[in-house]
Amino acid sequence: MKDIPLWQVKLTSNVAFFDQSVAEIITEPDLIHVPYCHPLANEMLIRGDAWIPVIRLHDQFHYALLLETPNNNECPRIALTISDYPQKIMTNDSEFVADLSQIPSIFRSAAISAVQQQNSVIPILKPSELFNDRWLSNALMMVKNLTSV
Amino acid sequence: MNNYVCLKISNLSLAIPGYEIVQINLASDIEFKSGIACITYRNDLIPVISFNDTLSEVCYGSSEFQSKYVVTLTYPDEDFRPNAHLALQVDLASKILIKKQGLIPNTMKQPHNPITGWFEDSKRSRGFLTQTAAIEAFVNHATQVTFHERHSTLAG
Repeated sequence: MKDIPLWQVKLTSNVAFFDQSVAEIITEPDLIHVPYCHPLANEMLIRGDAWIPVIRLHDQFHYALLLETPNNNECPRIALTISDYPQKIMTNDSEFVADLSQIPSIFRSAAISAVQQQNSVIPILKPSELFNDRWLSNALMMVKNLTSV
Repeated sequence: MNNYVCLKISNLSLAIPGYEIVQINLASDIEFKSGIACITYRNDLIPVISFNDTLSEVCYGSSEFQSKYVVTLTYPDEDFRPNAHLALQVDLASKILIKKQGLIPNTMKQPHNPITGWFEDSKRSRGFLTQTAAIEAFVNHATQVTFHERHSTLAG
């Protein structure tokens, strides 16, 4: 069976990205605050000549995952802050699950697939689906619910 | 054409096209009419606007932020005639040479955000791009007072 590499990261739960979606992993990124923006997307980081929007779900983070969003003319890349270094995992066709109802609802709109590994279902996310009004609004509600507990 | 002026408001650097600035005054030139802080441009009284560096506070017609200068901004009307539209309090206004620039994605921005893009200048300083029309839309939204209403109050 063909081995398919994924990058697994911990957000509110484990999620994964296809290898070709991940452009770079940046350690201790410097972020630039942009005034009057969405609470989860009000910073950018600089890479070469580009300023890249950053989605930040945590107060504390050590890394930024630089993700490709090839069909987005406005920003061909986005970044996602994460606390722990992502883990490279291998999967194969037999581990893909068709039923996405088992993954957390917050990630369902952004998931293109999911794999079953070690008794858990890990959604594989499409980066461009994280950078839109709908997902950011839902994520903000989730973050507020988590911090109010 | 690379004709920009960087307006400093505390920690915020906003670069605006140079042709949109018609006048720069000291804050001491501010006068009060009907209790509203104004600056005179030609024969018009222009209410003074100020905001903080996070764009979370906007003041209309007062000089609460104690900034040093007032820049009078304009953009052409439908007949391409310049009309003074805003007088904005700033800490500093200086000409810059922009070396790199780009857009801020709309997905990030709240509605009426006056920031249109980012820049890096010849001294490697960084900030944000804006235009008078965008600032006016932001101020109108934040203060719920339109350009027409601001000038009607002063004319009365």
